[in-house]
Amino acid sequence: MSPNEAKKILEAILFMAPEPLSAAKLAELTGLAENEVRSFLLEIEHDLVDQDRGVRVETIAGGYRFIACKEAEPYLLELSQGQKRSPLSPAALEVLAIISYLQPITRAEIDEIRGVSSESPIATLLDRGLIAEVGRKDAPGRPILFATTKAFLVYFGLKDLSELPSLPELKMPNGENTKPPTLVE
Amino acid sequence: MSIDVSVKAFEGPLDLLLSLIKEKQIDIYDIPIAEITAAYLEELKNMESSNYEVAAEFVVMAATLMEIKARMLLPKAKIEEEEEEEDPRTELVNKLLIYKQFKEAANFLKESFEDQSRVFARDTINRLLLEELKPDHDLRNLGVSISDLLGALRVVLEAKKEEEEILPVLPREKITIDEQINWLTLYMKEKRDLLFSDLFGVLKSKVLIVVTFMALLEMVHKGTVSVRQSEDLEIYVSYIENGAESEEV
Repeated sequence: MSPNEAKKILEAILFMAPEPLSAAKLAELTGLAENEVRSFLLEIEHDLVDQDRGVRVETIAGGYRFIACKEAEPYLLELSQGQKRSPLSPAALEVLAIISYLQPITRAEIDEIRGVSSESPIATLLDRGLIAEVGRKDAPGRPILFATTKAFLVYFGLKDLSELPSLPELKMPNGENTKPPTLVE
Repeated sequence: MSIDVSVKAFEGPLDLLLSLIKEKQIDIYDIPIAEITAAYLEELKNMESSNYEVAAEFVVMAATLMEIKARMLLPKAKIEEEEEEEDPRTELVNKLLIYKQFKEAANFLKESFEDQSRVFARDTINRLLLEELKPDHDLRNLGVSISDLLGALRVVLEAKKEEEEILPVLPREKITIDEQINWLTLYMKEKRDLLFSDLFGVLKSKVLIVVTFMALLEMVHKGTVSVRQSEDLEIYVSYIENGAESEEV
């Protein structure tokens, strides 16, 4: 496949994809090497910027996707008829923050940090697909462990978990240090 | 039964303590425990007098604070024996510090969300257009948005209000959600499909309507009935064959 052809095909795939695609996935689809995919995508992005086109390539949640240019924002808002994603409650955000740093983590551990029950915010987050059950802790009662999902990264526009601000003072009561959390697909 | 809207909602006792510490510009590493305990108890009293149900966690924290206060008042008798007696506040302060950091992290997420809501990609706009405008895609089996459902309930209640004004005051009815689930199951089995307004139109009182509405939500959750909205915005309730049975197996 010639470089031009490769770029054309990558552009088409990315245009059609319903969610961000990783370089690995794009390589698998096209038969190109991952580093080739990355450099072609970089070229596509440069072309788009050079020609001042309506879309950009964005890296998010360990993958790539097209996003609209800033100037199109008001028109796209109109297209979506003012619909906005409903924001999360402060409680849900707190729980999500705790899970994102300390995953995998049990409900009891989250409750302990917040000093209050987190049952309903956890249900909301599971429902929205922002967290998932990833197994059970090897502890009495074998409690469920929760972790954030790829949808979580997309939701907050994060490339990966390392984009979360570091919490310098954070030392857990058990003396364990935080991080690095693992990502659940 | 007026509710004092000036009372802030706190996520929990730690949230309340942090808010007091901030408000009084207290050094978190050297908390004047008597002062903070008094302020905390005052806040609980406010909650109670505003008809807020004070959750058990808040009461537990009040007890913890009073215990720390008492321990700080005790003379340090055996100070020489143990090398350095731990400050009774340490555990609480650590908890507060950890919680505070996660509150800040939650704030970071909130800001990221706001930034992100200005970014349009195929997946975001699809979600907005498909899932939120056409609630058929809703994972919670609600073929209609909650606000539309509540709107329909309001219409039914309004209609009932006019009728009730004519009727004399009736003795208080005791109806449980479980009873209404049973009734609704039988009724829906027979009727299969009907309009939301027709279903609630047969009910005699506001209490009955509200309890039945909660029963309906419960049944939607269990998958025994489904609700959906047609193009002309009418809300339909449908019975799902074997919905409940398969659940109970």
